[in-house]
Amino acid sequence: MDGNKKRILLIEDNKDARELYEELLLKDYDVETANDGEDGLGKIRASNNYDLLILDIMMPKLDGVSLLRIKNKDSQIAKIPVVVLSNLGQEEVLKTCFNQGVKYYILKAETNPDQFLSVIKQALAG
Amino acid sequence: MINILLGTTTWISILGSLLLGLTIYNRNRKNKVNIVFTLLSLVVVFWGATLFFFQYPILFPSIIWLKTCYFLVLFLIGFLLLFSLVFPKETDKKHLFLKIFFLIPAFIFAYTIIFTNLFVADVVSETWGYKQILGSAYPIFGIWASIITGMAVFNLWKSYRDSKGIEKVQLKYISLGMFLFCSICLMLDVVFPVLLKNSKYIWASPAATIFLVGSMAYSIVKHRLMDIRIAFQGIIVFIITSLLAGVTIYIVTVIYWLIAGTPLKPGIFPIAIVVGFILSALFKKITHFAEYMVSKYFSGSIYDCQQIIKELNREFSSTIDLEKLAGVIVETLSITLKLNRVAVLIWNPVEDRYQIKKTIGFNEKNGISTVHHEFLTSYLEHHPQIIILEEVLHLVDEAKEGEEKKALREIHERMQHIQASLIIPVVNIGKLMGLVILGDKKSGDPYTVQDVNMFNAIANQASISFENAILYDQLSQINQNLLKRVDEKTMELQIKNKDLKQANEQLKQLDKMKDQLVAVTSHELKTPLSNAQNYLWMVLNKRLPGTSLDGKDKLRLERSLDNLQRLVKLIDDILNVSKIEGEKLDIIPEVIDFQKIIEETIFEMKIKAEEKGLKLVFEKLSKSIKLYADPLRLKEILVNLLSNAIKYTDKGSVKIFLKLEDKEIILSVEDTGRGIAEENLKNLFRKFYREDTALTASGSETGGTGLGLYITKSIIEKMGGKIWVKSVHGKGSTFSFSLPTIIPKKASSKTGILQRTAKGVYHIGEV
Repeated sequence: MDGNKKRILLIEDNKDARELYEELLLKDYDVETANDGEDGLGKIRASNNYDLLILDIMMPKLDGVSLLRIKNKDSQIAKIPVVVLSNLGQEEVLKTCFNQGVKYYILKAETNPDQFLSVIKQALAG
Repeated sequence: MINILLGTTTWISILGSLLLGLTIYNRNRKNKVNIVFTLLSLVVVFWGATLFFFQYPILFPSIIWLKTCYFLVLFLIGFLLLFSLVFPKETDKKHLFLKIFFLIPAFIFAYTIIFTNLFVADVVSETWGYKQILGSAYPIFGIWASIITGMAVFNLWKSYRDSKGIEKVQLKYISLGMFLFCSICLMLDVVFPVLLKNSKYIWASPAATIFLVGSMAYSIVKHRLMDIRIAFQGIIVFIITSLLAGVTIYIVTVIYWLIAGTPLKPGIFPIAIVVGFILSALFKKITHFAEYMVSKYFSGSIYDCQQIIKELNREFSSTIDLEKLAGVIVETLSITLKLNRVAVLIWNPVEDRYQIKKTIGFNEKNGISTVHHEFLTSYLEHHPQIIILEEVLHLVDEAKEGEEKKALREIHERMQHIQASLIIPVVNIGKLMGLVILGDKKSGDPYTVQDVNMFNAIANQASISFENAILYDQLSQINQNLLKRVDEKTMELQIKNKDLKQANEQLKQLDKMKDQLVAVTSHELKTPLSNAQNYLWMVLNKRLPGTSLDGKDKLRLERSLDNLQRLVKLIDDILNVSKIEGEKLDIIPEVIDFQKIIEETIFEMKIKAEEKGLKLVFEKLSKSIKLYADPLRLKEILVNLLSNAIKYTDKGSVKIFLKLEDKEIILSVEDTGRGIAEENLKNLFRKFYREDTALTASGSETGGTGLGLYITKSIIEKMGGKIWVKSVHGKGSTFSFSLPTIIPKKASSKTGILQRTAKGVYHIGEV
């Protein structure tokens, strides 16, 4: 494990998407993945040193928005920055996420891998 | 001493008869009964006087007085008979035999009395006074007189037998009085002189009229004889007063006699009584005392008139409720006057009739409800005066018009039927507000002048109260109706509202479900699409190690990616349309540089235009143009219009130019394409509309969703602008839209909440 690399947890239930974004990120970051919200929350709590969370919204067991709420109430993990990666474009969902401290909200179908990576880079930078 | 007593009694009877006769005549000068009674009374008066003067002669010798007296007796007997025939009601019978039986002997006797000594032989002076020597014809006269008076009494008794109710009671007393009078007279004037040869007390027979006058007076006061009770009460008062005064004077005279020793002449009695009359007329205080006595012993009730008026007035001014008002009147009058029946009727303006508001004693058995009918009210409306049952018949006699007579007779009949004795109309400014109907006093006493005066005062006070109460009643009825209707309508509304709320709730639920369905569906569709897109993109951009593509494969993959992007666009368009339909299209405006946005879009679209060999021209204005609009929505519009222009133009150019107006900016996209048929122009902005023929004809183009222009139009309108198109088929089209240039004062260049840095990426705060 490269000590200089930023640690990212990718929480995504869709296997194809998870592997696609993992592959894209692996080149520059230290990436771990979770299959659903519950899994993701467990992993965040277990390690507690992620630099960034990439979070899907529509997931089984625990959805992204609920995960955000739990995370924000837990002072130990509340400060980890989050980028949402979803195909849900409703303003309502967006507002909720930003209210829960999300930095960027990426629509999967409307961004190409280059755009995605640049957003991640920005998110980690600031 | 007996002479003094008899003399006094005689004079009281004489004066009583005189007043009684005059009063009765004065009550109704046309009524035959009244006239006959008055004549009878006058004859009694003269007869009594002549007899007195026979015993105590002045001006003429005793014998002249006696002859005059007997002459008058003929009249007395005559009128007595006549009275018995006409009282209480005149019948159609002619009584011819009776008249002949009376008139022929009467003429003979008159002649005998005046011109012969057969009747009165002579008058001699005895120690005890003057004595008449009876003539030979006297017994015949006595028998004849007995028969006639007997017939008169019999007639009255017959009337008594056939009469009913009050009339029967009246007749009882009057017959009794008549019987006593006649019996005593016969005794003194016929039996004593003829059979016992004692004519000493003939002169005293007028004293017997005291029975006639007394019984008449009693039946008048107690049982309303001849409708004169009200006036008669005054007479009794006057007589009592006079007696008091007369007796006082007499006592004074006797005392003077005892002291001075001068013998008292019997002539002092009439003088004392006459002086008493004069004195009593002067001393009102005595009158008042007498009035009190009369009220107490004759009417059996005494009440403070002022107190009642005051009490009622207080109640009137403190209540505005019709029922209560009626209740107060009924209660007060029935208690204070001790009445057996009282009813209050008040005008109901809604139904335009008089309604019984409160009643005591009156009942349906007597048909009290018939007072609703117009018989009372229509008359009272024109004659707003208190009606007293007994007086109605006088009014009938006085009435000139046949109609009025008829109406009054009907009133009399109806009043008797419902057992009403007195009716008080309550009138306010000429309008009959109500009626107070009274029955009899429990004591059987008649209504007095005092009563009537009080009723008038009460009616005056009640009129305004009635009017107010009626208005108030009307108002509260209207109010109640209104309240009821408001309640009903409110209820209806509440039910409807509830239904609406439920329906609304259901609709909202459905709407939410629909939104969710659309959102989830588009999400579920996009997830595999986005994966495929990104994988393809990675292949095309050589992200995957160990992949190499030949030219044809690259084109195939590019087309795949292009189609996937179209699919995503289609899903987004459908989502947008769903938002537009649900009026949920989100526009997040901010202050933007319009020309900068145009340039950015042109930069994105340039490659596509150049691929088709088209020129993309933007005629920029020198002045910077600031707009308050959603930058990404604006880009969406521009992309839509430009891609359409490029799509449908094969050669030439696509030009963008701006025109700055007063309060808006107009942007036009002009192409040199195939144009749009005129008949299709109006359908252009409709949902799912496509100019199919043109599309299929070209073949090379992949069709759009048919939603682009619809969404564009909706977005522009949502931002306060308009869109229109001009086209010449085969030569090109110009799409133009306007947007307002007004920037709200509070608008900032950064919303600070939600921003889009690029298509598909959102972030918060600064860019």
